[in-house]
Amino acid sequence: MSRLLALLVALGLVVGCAGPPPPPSDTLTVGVSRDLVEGPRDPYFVHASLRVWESLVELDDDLEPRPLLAESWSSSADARTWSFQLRPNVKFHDGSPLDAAAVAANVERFLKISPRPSPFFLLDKSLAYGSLRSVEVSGPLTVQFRLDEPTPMLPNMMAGFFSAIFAPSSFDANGDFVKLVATGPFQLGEWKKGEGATLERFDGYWRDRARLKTVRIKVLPDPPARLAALRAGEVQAVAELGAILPDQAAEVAADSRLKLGSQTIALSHYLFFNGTRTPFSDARARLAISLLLDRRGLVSTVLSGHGTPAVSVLHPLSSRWTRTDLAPVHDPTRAASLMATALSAAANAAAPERRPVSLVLSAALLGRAPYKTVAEILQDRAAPLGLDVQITVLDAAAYNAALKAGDYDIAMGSQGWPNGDPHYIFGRYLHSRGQLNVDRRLGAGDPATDELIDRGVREPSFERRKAVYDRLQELAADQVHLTPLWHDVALYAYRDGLADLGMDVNYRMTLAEARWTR
Amino acid sequence: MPYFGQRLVRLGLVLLLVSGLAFGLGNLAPGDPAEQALRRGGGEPTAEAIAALRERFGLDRPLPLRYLSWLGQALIGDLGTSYRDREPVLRHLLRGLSFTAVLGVTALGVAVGLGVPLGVLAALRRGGLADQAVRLLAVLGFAVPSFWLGLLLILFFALTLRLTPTGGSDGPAHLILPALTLAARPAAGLARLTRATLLETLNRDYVRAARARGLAEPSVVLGHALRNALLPVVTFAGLAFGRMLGGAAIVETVFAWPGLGRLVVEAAFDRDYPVVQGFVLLSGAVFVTLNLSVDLMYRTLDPRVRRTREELGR
Repeated sequence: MSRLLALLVALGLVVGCAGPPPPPSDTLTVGVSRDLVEGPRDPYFVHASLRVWESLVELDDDLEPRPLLAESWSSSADARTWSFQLRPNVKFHDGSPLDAAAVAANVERFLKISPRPSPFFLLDKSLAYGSLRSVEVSGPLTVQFRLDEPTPMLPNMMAGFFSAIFAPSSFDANGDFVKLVATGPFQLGEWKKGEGATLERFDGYWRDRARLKTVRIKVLPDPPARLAALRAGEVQAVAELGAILPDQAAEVAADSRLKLGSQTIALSHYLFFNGTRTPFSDARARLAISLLLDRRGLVSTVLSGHGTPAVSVLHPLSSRWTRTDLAPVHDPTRAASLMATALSAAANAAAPERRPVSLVLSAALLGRAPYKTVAEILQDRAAPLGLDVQITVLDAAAYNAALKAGDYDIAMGSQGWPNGDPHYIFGRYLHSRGQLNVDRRLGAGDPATDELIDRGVREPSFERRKAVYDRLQELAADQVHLTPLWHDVALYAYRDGLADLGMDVNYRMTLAEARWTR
Repeated sequence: MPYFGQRLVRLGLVLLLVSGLAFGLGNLAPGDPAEQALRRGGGEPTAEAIAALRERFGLDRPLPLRYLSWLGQALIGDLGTSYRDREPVLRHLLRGLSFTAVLGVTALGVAVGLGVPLGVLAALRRGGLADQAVRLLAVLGFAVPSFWLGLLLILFFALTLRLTPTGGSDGPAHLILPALTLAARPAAGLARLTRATLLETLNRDYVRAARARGLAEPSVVLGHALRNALLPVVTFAGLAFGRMLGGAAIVETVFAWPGLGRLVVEAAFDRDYPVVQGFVLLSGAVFVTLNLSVDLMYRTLDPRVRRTREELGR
C-alpha cells in the first residue's frame, strides 16, 4: 500500500511539472477560438489581428478611415482619381523600404488573384477598388488610383484587409506567398495549423515598438476549455472574435484574478425575410415580426447586457451615417393587427394554403450568438398571431443553400461592416441586383430605391450623399426586408497584471500595446 | 488463393465501395463547395466569382468523371488538394492522423489497462461489492457524454489539483486528459465484456478440470480461463480503436488536440470534399486493416480457427 502511495505521489510530481510557470515579463500567451495563421496559400497569410502586416488605411472607432501606411490622401473633384501619399521611413521586416512601387505591386497582385477565398476575408477586387482602371507610381512615395466611376468612399473601401501591404519579395509570379515580409510591429515566428503561432517583436518598427518581445497564440476552439486555460494560467488572455461568450461573462467577473473587457464591434445581427413568398412578401407581415421583438429585453436578458439594442440597419458606431431616430420598436398589439391584415390579404388573394413558418439558423453561428434562444422567443411570441414557427438549424453550407433556394421564411444571421461605407449594406441588400438581396430572396429593390443607391455610391458631395443614405435608412425601416436585432459587443478576458490588451471595432487585438504591470 | 490473399482482395473491394459512397454522398449534400469557400471569410461572392472557383476546383465536370479522376489519382497516392487552403489533402490527413493515432493508441492502452482488469475483478467477485462498483462504473462510462466528461476532468485535474494542463499538444502531459476521456467508453465496454466472457469460461469443463488437478486459482484464471475469454475482447478492442479514430472529434475540440477528427468535422462543415473523401478512404483502410489484424490474431490465439480455415482452404 505504501509503495502504491509513493508511486502516486511520484506520478503527481512528474505530472505536476506540467503546471504553467509564471510568464516572463516580456511574453504573453493569448488563447483564441480559431486559427489566425492560414499559411502561404491564403491571400493574407495571417489575420490582421496578429499585427504582422499593415494596411494603407484603417478604420477608427467611428468607422472613419484614418492613415496608417498612407500618411494622407486626396481626390479629384469627380472622385475618379485618388492620390495616396505614403508615410516616409517605413521599413519592411527585411529592412527594405516601403515605397510607391511596393504599394503598386501589392495592388496589381490583388487584382490578379481576385477573387480568392480566405477564412479571414474574401479577397474581392470589386469590393475593394470598385471600377479601378489603373494604379500608377507618381512619385517615390505617391501612388495614384484612376477609376472609371466616381468613387467617393475609396479610402473606406480599401481599409484593413483590402489594402494590406507586403514586401513584393513575399510573392511568386502567381501572387502566392513564398515568405511573409511586411511592416507590422510583430514578425511571424514558428506556427502550426490548428495549434497556434509565435510572434516576435520587430525592433525596426516605424512607430513605438511593441512592449512585449514575444506573443504566443494558442488555438483553443472549445469555449469552456478556453476559459479553463485562462483560469489555470496556461494562457494569460483570451481575445479575438468569440473569445468569451455572454453566458461566461459572469464567471469571469466573479474571479478576482481575471479582468473582463468588452468592445463594441462593427457587427450586427439581423432577421432576414424571404420576400418572394407569402406571408413575408407583404411588408406588413415583416413589420409585424419586427414589432414582436423587444430588443432591449433581449439584450438585457439573453445577452446579459453585452450588446446594443438595434438602432438602424447601419451600425451606430458610425455617427456620420447612422440615424438613431429609426430604432425598431416593440409593439405586440400593432404586430397582431398588422399580421391579421397581411394574412387576410393573402387568403383573399387565394395564396397557397397556410403552412408553418420556417425559421432557419446556421449552426456555425450558434456558438457565438444566442440565436437559438432568440428564435425560441420569436416562436413563442408569434404563436398568438396564428403563426406556427418551426426552427431548423442547418450547417453553414446547407443554410446558405436554403436561403439561395428560397426554402425558408425567416433567417437569422450576422453582418459585419468592415469598411463603414453605407453602400456596403444598401448596395448588397436593398438594390434589386444586390448580391445578398438576390442570394437570400429578400425581394427588395424597386426603381426608386435602385436609383437612390446608384446615386449614393457615386455622389462626391458629402451632404448630398448623407441625404441619400438618410433616406435609404428610412426605406429600410419601412420595407423591413431585413430588420436589425442587436449590435455586437465582443468580450475578452485577461489575467490581473496585464494592461492595454484590447480589441478594436474590427475585432483586431491590440497586441502591440499590451504590457505587464507586474 | 491463400487465405491472406483472399482477405486482401476483399479489402480492396470494400475500399472501392467505401470510396464510391463517400464521393457520392458527399456531393449530394446541400451547399456548393466553391460558394462555401468564398463565403468563409464572411464575404458575399458574386456569381462570376463562384463560377470561376467551381471551374478551378473542377466542379463543373460531371460527377462520374470527377470520381474516376479522383480514384485514379488516389491509387497513386494523390488525394488532391483541399478546397479551403489548397494544401495537399494527404499532408493534412497524415498530420492529423499522427496526432489522432497517438491519442487513440494511448486511449486504447488506458481502456485495456483499466477495462480488462476491472472485468476480471468483477467476474471473480461476482455479486460482491467490487462487481457492483465495476458495473456502476461501466454504466457511467457509457452514459456520460465525452464533452462533459472532458470538462469535468479539466475542472478536477487541471483547475483544482493543477496536475495536468487543460489542453493543447505541447508534450506528453497534454495527452493525459484527452486519453482518459476517450478511453472511458471503450474501457466500460471492455470491463463488461471481459466480465461476461470470463464468467462463461469459468464454468467450462476444462476449467473445472484444471481446478480438480489442483492448480492454483491465479493459474486457473490467468493461464486457462482468461486466455480463452480474451478472444471476443480482442475483437472489441480492435473495433473500439477504429471507432476512436473516427469519433475523436469532440475530445479533440475540447482539448485543442489537432487531430484528424477536428480536421474532418471542420472540412465537412466547409464542404471541403477532397479532405472528407480522403478521410473516409483512410479511415476505411484503417478499419478494414484492423479487422484483418484481429482475424489474424484470432488464428494465433485460437488454434481451432487456424485448423478450420486450413481445412476450408484445402
